[in-house]
Amino acid sequence: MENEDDEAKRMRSVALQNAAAILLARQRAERELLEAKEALERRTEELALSLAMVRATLESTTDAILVTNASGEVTGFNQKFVEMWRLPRDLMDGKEHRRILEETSGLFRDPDAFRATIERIYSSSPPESYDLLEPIDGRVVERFSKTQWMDQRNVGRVWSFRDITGSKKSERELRDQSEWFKVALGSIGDAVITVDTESRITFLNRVAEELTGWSSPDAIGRPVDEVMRMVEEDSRVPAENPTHRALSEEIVLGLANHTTLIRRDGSEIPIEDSAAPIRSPTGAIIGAVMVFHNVTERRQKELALKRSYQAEQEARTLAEHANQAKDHFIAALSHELRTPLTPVLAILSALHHDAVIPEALAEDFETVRRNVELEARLIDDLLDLTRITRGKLHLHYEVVSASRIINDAINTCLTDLNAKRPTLKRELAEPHLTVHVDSARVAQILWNLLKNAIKFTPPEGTITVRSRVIPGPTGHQLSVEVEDTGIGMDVADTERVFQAFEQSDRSIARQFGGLGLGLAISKGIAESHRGTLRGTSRGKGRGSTFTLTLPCGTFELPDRAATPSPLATSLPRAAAPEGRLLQRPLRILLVEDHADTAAILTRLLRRMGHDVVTAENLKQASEIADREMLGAGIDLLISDLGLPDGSGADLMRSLSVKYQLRGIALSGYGMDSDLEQSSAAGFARHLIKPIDVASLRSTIAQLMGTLE
Amino acid sequence: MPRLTAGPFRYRTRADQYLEFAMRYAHVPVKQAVISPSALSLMYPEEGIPDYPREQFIDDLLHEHETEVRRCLQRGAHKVQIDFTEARLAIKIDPTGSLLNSFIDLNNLALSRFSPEERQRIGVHTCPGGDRDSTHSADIDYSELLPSLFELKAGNFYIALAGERDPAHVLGIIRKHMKPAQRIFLGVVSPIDPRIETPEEIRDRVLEAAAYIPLERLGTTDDCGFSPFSDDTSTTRDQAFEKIRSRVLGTALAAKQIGGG
Repeated sequence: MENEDDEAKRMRSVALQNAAAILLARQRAERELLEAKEALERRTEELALSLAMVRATLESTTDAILVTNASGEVTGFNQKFVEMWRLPRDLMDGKEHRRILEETSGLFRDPDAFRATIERIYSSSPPESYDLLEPIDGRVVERFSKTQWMDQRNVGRVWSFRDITGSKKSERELRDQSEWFKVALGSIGDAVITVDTESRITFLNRVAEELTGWSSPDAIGRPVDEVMRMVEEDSRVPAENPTHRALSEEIVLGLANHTTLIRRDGSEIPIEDSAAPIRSPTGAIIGAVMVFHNVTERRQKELALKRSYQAEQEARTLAEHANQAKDHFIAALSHELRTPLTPVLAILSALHHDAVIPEALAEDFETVRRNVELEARLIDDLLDLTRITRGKLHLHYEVVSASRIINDAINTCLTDLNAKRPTLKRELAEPHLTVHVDSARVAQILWNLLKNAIKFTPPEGTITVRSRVIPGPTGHQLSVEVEDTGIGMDVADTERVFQAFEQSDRSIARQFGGLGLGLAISKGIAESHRGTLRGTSRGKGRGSTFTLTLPCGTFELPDRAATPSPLATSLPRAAAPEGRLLQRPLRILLVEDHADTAAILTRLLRRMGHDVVTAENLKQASEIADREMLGAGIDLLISDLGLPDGSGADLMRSLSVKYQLRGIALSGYGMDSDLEQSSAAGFARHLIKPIDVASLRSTIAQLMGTLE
Repeated sequence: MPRLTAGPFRYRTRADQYLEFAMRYAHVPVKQAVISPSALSLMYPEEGIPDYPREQFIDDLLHEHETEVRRCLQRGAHKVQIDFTEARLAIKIDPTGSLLNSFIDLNNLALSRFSPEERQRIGVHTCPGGDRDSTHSADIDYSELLPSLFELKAGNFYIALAGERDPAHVLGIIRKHMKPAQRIFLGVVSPIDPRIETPEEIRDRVLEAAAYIPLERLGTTDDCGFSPFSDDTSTTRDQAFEKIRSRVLGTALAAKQIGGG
């Protein structure tokens, strides 16, 4: 009994000591429980937040969403689902999927099929399902469902619905458009092929099939280079298909090429092709299109045209050669005609000043001189006409007084005026007006007009020279009128008189002489100055008026007379200086193969006091020069250009280098190119045959500084 | 009472081994009894164990008890009954109730480790003791014990009633303090009384109890376990089976009469 009491006491003591430990354990458990509770609350809050997010996601998604559990009860849906199927709220509150399906099945043409699909999904429970719903209202809805798993347990299914009516419509439109393009491309006259980005054929139209010899089923999917074998038309080098560059460089390539297509059967056709990249609506390159057509017919026409052009070119070349030959012939003819005149004119000029010649004989000599000069004039006209018609008339512009040119022209004609004695009136305005012209050529025009006026006006008639300034299309113009009261002309002839070899009437030529070149040349010179020359008449017997217009500037008159052209020409012949010339004796080497000319020139030069050594060809001239330069020396070379064994230009070039000799060219060739060649060879002056004594004397004096 | 001399505290044999053995022969659901944590807590010596503090012992004890109960449940025990026979004794040892409350706290810590569903398969047994045909605390009135007992978080209560002098008094206390969802199995057979109760007696006891406890929450049991027959020969094995047979028949008679099941 005592032991039992001890045991009880001990148990009580142990139990009470345990109580403290139990209390601590309980407090710890309660604390852990509290923490667990708090953690649970936190998780609950997080879950609530997640649920809210899920709900918000459901509502913000573009799809209509329905969630069902394994028993077919609705556990979630979004507003879009309700709106998509126009479901009453109380139906959704009922949470029975089958009732909802029953309600919506009425929206379809075949409600049974609609329900059967759902039943099949419910019974077989596939992991995923997809089908298209097409309600009777025309919409197209994509339905997708997915089984939801939790701990490997099927807990239901999520159904999503997407209205794809718009994209279906776009797809249909795109398909229609694609068909339309295929039909359109198939209908056009050009061949069209398209390739993908791998350069494989994706489309050929009917023309492309015909040209390549490939059918669409055979060609589609093949590399474009296999179907479109191409070579360069001329070189036969394989040609790159333009779609390659269209794809790689993203550029449009044009049709300017000459390519030959080798067809499937090996035959060849020339084609012209172009290519361009094909872009998707987003701008990405998705392929390339090549358009080409058969140019066989055009090539044949081009070939014919080319042959025709070549023939025309050959004919033109021949004509040009003939023209050049004609020019050369005229130049040569002119030279040959001038050469014999030179000694004649020289002799007559010398005799004209010879006091020992009886007066009656002197008049005869003067008549001969005038006619020789007229013949030289005719030759000059022929040369001028050649220059004008060939467009090779070179003008040496200078600023000169308009009045001076007019007065000089009148003075040149004084001899003729005095001989016929018509009344001359001068009505010159703007005495200080200057013009920028080739004064010699303008003087030539006025001289021609005055000569004609004098020629066609009777002694009792009147010639009026009138100048004035008039407004022109590009500024002020100088107008110079030469009006006469002579024979006049029909109105129809006012144009014809400016044509070469034309005079208003054949009888005029017979009565008054001349070749009818003066007005044609004058009109050409006026137009070369951007001016005009027109003729008017009130009719036959009622006089004529010729009007020259020239652009005029506001140039100041130079202090001294305008510098003449670098190389003196034969124009104006009558205006040669008349000053008294005293010559310093020179030692002159005269080279001339025409014996008469050489003889008379030698005599005239010696009369001028010069010492003359002559040679008749290039070789002889060179030898004489070499010899003489060791002795008395040579001051001046006067040489014909056309020598039997070479050109006077070569002689001049040689002697100017060896002895710094200066020279004067004598030539029947008076074209501008001839003058330029003389200058280039080293000649300081170029005199055109026939040469009168005065011109020769003054030229020597100017060149050698012997003018006293 | 054996004493623990060193830690850590571990069960050498767990009740699920007996359950497995019993279930080989049983053709009806088996209730497996286990010792309460509060009883085993008394093994820790008063003076303590070096390097094995009391707090660690309590934690180990709870863990071992939880493991034992959970393994019984997993092996298919219809119910697991925690023998809390020391409850009434605790009142006797410590009339202030502190010791009892400490025991209830400890057992509740153990029960808290189970889910509500699991706790519906766990019960607590209380009696005044029945070893060697004697009680240790029959003199303690249930009114001092039951209000605290029903604070336990168990789903079932196995309460000895056959040996009580005033069953109506006890039933009144039960009715007053029992909580919803608690099922009450009343002891209708006394293991320490050699007399075999008749089914009619049993029936009458049930009918009496049914006046206090709703039928759907009322069940019958024995007041206590039949002690091993090797050390307690006052009640033979045959007598024990006869008593059980009477309880089953008597309960069935009552059920037939009042329509319970």
